[in-house]
Amino acid sequence: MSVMVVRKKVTRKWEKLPGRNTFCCDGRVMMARQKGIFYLTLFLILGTCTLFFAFECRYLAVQLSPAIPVFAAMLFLFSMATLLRTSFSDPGVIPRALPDEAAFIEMEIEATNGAVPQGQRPPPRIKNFQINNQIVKLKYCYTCKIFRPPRASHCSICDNCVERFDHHCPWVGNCVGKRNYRYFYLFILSLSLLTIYVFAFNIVYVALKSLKIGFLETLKETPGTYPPLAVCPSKAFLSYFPACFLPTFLPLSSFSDIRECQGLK
Amino acid sequence: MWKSQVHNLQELRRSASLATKVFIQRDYSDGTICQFQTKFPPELDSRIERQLFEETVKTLNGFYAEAEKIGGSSYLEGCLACATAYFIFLCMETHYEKVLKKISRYIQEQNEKIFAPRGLLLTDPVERGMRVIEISIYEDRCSSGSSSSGSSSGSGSSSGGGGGAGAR
Repeated sequence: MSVMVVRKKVTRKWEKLPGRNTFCCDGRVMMARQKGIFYLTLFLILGTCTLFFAFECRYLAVQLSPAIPVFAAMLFLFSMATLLRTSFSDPGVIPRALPDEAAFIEMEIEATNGAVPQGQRPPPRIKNFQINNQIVKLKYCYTCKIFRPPRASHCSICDNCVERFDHHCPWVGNCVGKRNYRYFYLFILSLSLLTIYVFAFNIVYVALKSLKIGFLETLKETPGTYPPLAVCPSKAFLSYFPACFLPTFLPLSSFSDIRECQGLK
Repeated sequence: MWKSQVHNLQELRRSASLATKVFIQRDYSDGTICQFQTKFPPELDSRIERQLFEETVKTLNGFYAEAEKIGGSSYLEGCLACATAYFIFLCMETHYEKVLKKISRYIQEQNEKIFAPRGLLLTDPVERGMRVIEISIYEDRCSSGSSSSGSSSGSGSSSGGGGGAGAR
């Protein structure tokens, strides 16, 4: 974020942002206020991967190939990097209108709609814009006092208008919008791959060891396999596959189709 | 030299009082790309030549188009960034950020050469979330007029006492 110098006192822009965000590291880290679920996500990923590296990898590296933990480590680092990037970056928050701009817009609205008599509910503020020969309605945001650009939306949790707002993801502890969508998508993709990879090699490990010492003995010897076996399938099949398919196929089908954009808001 | 010109702008802010602000909205006729309307606002009629204003806005539009252009280099930059899990951005700037810096230098230059002598100030759209170009119109409080690096046809504010009929 840039610096405004006012008489030798450095006032950072993030200090004055009216939304419900928390900032760290001198404005380099920007998150939503509720971070509990984000810590849970971190714990789940770190926990299962640590157990995988501590127990299964030692056996599999020797028995099968040392490339297995190396590739797992790369996937793990990539997922963590994209997770942190998604959680800590600005999703594309639109700054609120300053009083001058808000007054200007109010004047324009009154000029088009006429002054509303006292006691009556004002009509919903919508501006019609023509985008590529299609009429698109832009809605007015009462909190931010702006007409939202196409595909922008107001996040009620963070109390900000966000450009190309997708959703507020509690797992990531931040909104997902224009500026961090690619990191979010890569996080989901890499985490799916990591989950499948860990789960698959867990199965392989249990299978290999069972051939030698029997299935029940294997389960008794390595309790470290339980958490990944339990957590991975649920993570993969409940959330990541749908989350992966949607961003992959939706943009391909609705690319630059304004009707889809209207439906998506 | 750059610092003294910035100082001139700050002096302009101190010696002149803010009369009003004009907001140039986004132009969505070509899609959702970042473009601003080149329609000349009536409030600037007596302040600046139409052609200068339009040229400034068109140049800005050109810069934004350049920033969002997807070419070979931006594709390679994206692939490299993805391969390094985006750690490379700790060391280098993206193409977009480079063009944004260019834009901010251009606006600074335009303010010093063209707008400040006419009692106007352009705000970088980045500061307003790329929604508007905010042009502040200043009225002179003192008779000495705004200090500036001399400009040829300084209309409006160079004569003292309010933005009256600025003879050109």
